[in-house]
Amino acid sequence: MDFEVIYPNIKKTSLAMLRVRTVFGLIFLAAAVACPVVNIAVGGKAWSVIVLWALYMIWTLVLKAPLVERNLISQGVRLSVMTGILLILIDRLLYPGWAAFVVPIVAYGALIVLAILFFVNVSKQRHNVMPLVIVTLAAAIGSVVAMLAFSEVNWPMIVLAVTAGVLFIATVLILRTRLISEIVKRFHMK
Amino acid sequence: MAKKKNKQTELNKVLMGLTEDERGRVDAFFRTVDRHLRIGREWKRQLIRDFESALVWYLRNGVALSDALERLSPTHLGGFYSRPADDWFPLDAAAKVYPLSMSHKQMAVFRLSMYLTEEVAPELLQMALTFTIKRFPFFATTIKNGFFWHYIDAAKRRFPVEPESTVPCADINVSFTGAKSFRVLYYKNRVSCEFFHILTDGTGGTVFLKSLVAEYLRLRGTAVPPGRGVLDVDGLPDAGESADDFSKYVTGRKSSGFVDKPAIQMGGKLSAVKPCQVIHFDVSSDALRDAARARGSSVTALLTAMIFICCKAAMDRQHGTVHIQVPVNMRSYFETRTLRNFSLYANIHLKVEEIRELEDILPEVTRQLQEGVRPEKMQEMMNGAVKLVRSVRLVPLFIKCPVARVVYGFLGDRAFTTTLSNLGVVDMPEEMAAKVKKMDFVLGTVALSRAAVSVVSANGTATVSVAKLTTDPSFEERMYALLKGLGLEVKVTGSDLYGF
Repeated sequence: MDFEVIYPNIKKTSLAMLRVRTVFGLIFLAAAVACPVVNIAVGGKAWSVIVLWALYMIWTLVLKAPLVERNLISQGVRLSVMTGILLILIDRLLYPGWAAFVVPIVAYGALIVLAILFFVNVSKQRHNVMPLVIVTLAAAIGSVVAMLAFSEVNWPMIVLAVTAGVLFIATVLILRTRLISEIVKRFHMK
Repeated sequence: MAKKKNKQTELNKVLMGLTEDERGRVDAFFRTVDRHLRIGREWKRQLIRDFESALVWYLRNGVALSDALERLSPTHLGGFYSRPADDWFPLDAAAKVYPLSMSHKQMAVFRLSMYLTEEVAPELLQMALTFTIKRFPFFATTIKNGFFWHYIDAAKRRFPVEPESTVPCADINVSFTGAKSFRVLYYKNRVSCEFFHILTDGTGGTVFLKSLVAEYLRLRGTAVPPGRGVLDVDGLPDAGESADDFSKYVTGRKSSGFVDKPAIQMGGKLSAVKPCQVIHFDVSSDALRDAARARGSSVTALLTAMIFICCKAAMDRQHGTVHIQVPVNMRSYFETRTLRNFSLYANIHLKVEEIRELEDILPEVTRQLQEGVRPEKMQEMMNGAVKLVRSVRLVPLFIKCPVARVVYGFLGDRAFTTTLSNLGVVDMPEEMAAKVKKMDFVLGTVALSRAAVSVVSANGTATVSVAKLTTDPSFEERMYALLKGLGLEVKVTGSDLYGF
């Protein structure tokens, strides 16, 4: 059956990313199985949990990035939250006693960077604002709850609470009714 | 930057040939264009450049300045780019599954193409898209994550036309801010639109493509009156066109499920590039219809029966059931103006051992098809779809997504061997028909189905397209033999193998 070719020569189809994902997927899978086995066999601290979380971070942030809404703000929020969890895991499972001080510093640093990304181009980034609003609100509430729960209140927690609170109020003031319509869209059940 | 300078020089060069008065009119024209564009600086710059390129094209092709300015009049922009993007649309009941089930390897994309009698002028096609998009506000959108469901959010930006440079129905990157969910491509005399299925189905896509091409033809100097599926792109969008009519017509009575027994699959190694080849069979639509009538069946039933034989030819296994999914346009049953998804499907199945000659299986296929598309059956399926959507509406998206991917992986693709989507005869105004040779319609492939078949008829030519997922040529070779066996004259076109 002969036929006439009516499609152009296409750019060499890039299978590189597909191959990279497959190779890394196998390596990650091997590591995800091997680490807990070795950890259980050798005993000691549960370091394999940290390895598993780090693998998951790289997988979801780099190799299998989200298919919907992958933008600077949403990826920044994901990176910040995941880094916070990683630090808490290291604190809890390996070397305890510093996370209550370091995590708020990392968190307010991340909030400042995200705020800069948002305020530099409000007209474009207002479409991506929801992850920022949620993480800001969570950070403000979280830091206040932590201050009330812990007997010892440190300055990074206070700075985080203030930064998150100011950022949240500024976002609400700038977006006003648009924030409400954004909430309506995000939580619709139609 | 250098390109921009070249373009400016090109426009300036053309302007140098004009009189002082004409240059003044061009200046006034661009001031008016500027007043219509209240969007981001980069988009605005690109849109103005599109106007400049189109004007240069006109003046270089001997069109009088006044005529060129009239055709490009910024009034065709309406207020679309003057207002911020505030609108949004929930996904219709049929579309909800597509973002839930999509993966890095799989996206539901389909393609509609129109072959014109002349080579496409990209500058004018770009302007045609810029003028057309305002009439289809739910196309000028970007997909977003909600807490419970995805939704499409208005996006005011330049929607570019692109030369073909990827495989047909390639995945569309919908992830970045303002990302579009469709693409308009051109190659020689062909204009193609590829849609992510969340936006529309084949019927809605056809209306968009026809309206786009009609606007393109107007810019080339052939006025095409609205009607016969061509919308007036300067008219106001109709809310009914973007409505989810599944919810409107659901009765809440008897409903049917979607789960079916797994189907037997064709053989052949699955290709990494999807699709790895596209083949088109062009036949006379009248001759095809006559061949079906002579056998007491419809074109869809005849082609479905042929596909059963092709499937058998493309597999070694001799036991199991071949299932063919046949999309059914619900517009045939319900009064609607919607251009969103409004189709369901019938599942036609035969045991492999029952598949013999065309004449042997055609009566059974015709019977199943008539049974499968009964209005009561469609109503039950629609009730089932809406019921399913409503039952999981309170489940957060971050739970729905992974669950849907697993369920779809187990049930969705395995439930059928292949698909036959027949768009039917595409009607168009005479002015347009005179400039269009034919159309084709290509379904994006799914994970397991080695061949997906689609059909559309326009201007007397029925084009049967096969999108392949394996290098095994048995399917299309058998299809060719069967079409020839009907006494039809068959012209075969297609693509080379991709990724090999």
